Amino acid sequence: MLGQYFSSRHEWENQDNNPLPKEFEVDEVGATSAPLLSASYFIGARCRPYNDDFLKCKDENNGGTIECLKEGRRVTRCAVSVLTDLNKHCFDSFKLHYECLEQNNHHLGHCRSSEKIFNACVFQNLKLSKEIPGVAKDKQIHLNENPIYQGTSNDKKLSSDFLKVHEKN
Amino acid sequence: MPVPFEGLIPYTIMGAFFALAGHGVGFIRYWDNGWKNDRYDLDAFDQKMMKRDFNLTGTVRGQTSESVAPEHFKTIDEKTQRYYTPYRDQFFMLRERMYKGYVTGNWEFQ
Repeated sequence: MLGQYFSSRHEWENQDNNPLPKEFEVDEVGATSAPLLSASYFIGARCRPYNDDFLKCKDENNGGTIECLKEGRRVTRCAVSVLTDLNKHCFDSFKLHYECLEQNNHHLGHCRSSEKIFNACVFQNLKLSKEIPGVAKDKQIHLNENPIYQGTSNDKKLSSDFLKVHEKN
Repeated sequence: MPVPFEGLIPYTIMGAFFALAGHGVGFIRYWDNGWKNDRYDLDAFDQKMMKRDFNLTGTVRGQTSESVAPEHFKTIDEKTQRYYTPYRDQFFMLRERMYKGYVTGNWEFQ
């Protein structure tokens, strides 16, 4: 409390004096908000069992802050594995899509052109599906050729440029 | 009867200054966001994710698709410090309540 007034009297070191036990250690997800949103449906597609398991555990254990650490680590590892694969196989189109999201307030409807390129890459290389829960498989928005939100002109331009560059290579 | 063009000169000048001010502020905001458009209509989750983005990248609007976070991210902790004042948040009480009521619809006057 006195540190508010006499800050110089406190010795302060940037080290964790009370570290977690080794068995709780897990590599945290390092992707920021736009890449996570971009990858979210693919994370859901691969990690659905782990996520459901985690939520079931929380439901059964009244929040499960301590009880569900194991399930939580599994969720984190699964998400990390999806992001690793996306970076390995679809880095360029992933980046195209999340940079569009970042320019357009994270509105998925404004980035359909780049999303299409990204989807094609993921479907081909990772064999993950994209599915909005509760919507029929043939009514999914990424299959709609004429959606209400057509995307921004800048996204369309960047996407066509991207396709031109990648067709040449 | 046509308006002589001399009559429109003041309005042109005024319009030009308004445009300069507006586009200038817009440009500065765009530049300050790291050449990105403003975020808007943010909810608590968005705010929290933007804080997390800052902790991961070290810049306010930075983005990275790294799958594994750096080691220091596990124990990162943000502390806000305040200086002492006997009148914290006590200035312009009526004005701030009027503003909050106007914005949120809750007119809470004690």
